[in-house]
Amino acid sequence: MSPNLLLLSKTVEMTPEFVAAVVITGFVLTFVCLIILILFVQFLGKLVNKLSKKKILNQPKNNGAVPASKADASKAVSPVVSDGIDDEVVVVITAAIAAMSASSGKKLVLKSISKSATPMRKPWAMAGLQENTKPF
Amino acid sequence: MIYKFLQTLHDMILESGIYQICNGFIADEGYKIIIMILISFVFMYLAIAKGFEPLLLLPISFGILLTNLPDAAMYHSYLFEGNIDYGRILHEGGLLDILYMGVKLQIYPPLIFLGIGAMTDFSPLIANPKSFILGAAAQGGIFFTFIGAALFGFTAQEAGAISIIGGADGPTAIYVSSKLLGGGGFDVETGTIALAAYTYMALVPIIQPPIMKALTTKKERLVRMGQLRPVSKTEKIIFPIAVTVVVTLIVPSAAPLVGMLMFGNLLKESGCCDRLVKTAQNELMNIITIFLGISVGATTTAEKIINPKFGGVIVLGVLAFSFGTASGVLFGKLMYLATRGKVNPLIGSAGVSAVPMAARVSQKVGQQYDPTNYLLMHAMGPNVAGVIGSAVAAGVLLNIIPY
Repeated sequence: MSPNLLLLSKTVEMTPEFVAAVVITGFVLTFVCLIILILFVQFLGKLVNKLSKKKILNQPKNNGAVPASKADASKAVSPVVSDGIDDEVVVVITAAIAAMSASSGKKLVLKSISKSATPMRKPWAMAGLQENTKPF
Repeated sequence: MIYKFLQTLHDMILESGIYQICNGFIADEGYKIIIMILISFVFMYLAIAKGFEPLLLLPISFGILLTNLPDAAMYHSYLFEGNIDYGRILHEGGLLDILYMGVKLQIYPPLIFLGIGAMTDFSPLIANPKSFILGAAAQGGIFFTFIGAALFGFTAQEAGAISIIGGADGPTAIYVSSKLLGGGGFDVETGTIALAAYTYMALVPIIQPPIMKALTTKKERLVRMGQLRPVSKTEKIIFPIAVTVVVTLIVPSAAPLVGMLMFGNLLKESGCCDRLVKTAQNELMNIITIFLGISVGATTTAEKIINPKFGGVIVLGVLAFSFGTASGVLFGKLMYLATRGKVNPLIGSAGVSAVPMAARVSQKVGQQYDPTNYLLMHAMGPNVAGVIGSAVAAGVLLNIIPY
């Protein structure tokens, strides 16, 4: 027989006291165990974050970075972009259209970009979510 | 010559299963064998045609078929009663007797946990450790069902084995029930517990949504949760070691399950044992799944299934799942209030384990109200916390209930 908390014999009468002891002890121990794990994981996260920040600060600054030259957009006609749409969204849409133009041989023009009625996530966030949730 | 032929034919008919079923159809309850064979067909249909947990339900159902065919002599329940003589099983036992030793000696469930650990990504839990609370809360199904089992008149060991169904974790249910019911002489068998557990796990998408919708408001179901922070490799490596140490120090009985789960995860996260990880995830996991399924199915003989107590197990099993879901969602609501609307209570239901199906259900129900709401990664936190939580709860049950 295994050691047990209540030191009971093998045949146990299912009295209300015993049932209550199982339920209360079970709940309390499960919660205590997992709360300790919460505290530990939170502490670990903070510690690792602190250490990685320190590491970044100690790294020598990169002086050799060359700023990216501006694209030659003199001939391009800017589409009408409604308020609140990020530049990165415009870049992604124009890049996709440029890729389509190149493959089809047709010259496509983007005239306007406007928000849909339903709120959407940022395209990069959506792509990230889809990538992360793919295994499940 | 003709006489010899007829004599041989006569002997063969007398030895055949058809004769034995027909001969003892009423007197020796041969009709029960036919019912059991039909039950095995139903489970095979559910596994193959409906896709209900086929990886386990199919081996289990075939085990039921093999054990109930007269004189197949592949499994002998009497060999596992009282003080088990394992030497005798090796000499006299059939194939399924020998495979069942892995269940009786609690070898298979921890090995399955090794494979699960090697396949599980704990990042969502590490990124949001508060999910642990939901994993603990959903274990309410286990402990509330213990009360129900007591009211149904089950013994302490039987009640413990039935209530662990609420953990929605097949290997844990088999581990706990084989330990608690190991002494024999009970009306409930490990096979019945496993059968109920896996059937209800397959029914998670049907059982959970009505409870989730009943306990939450539309406003709560529409909550969008913030992006999870990225988790570093160091955290992922330290996590399994820390969980093993903390859980084993508090609940030593949970060590075989939690220890192997975390060992598998450490192999994966360390990045230095690719060959071992591949074996744990694939070959080992698949071999153990076959052994476990078919041998557990073999224990479900007619006398264990066709009795009123099995009806009690079925009723309590669904109650266990429902209570677990409800307590997870209710704790999710508490977190919603405590964080002023930053936590979607729907992720609470994923705390019942059943990885990753319960998390998928949270995602699906959330998307019914907002198709652009992605709750899956947030629900994976409580989901994997539920695996740890159910292993801890199992350890607690084994500690309190004598066996």
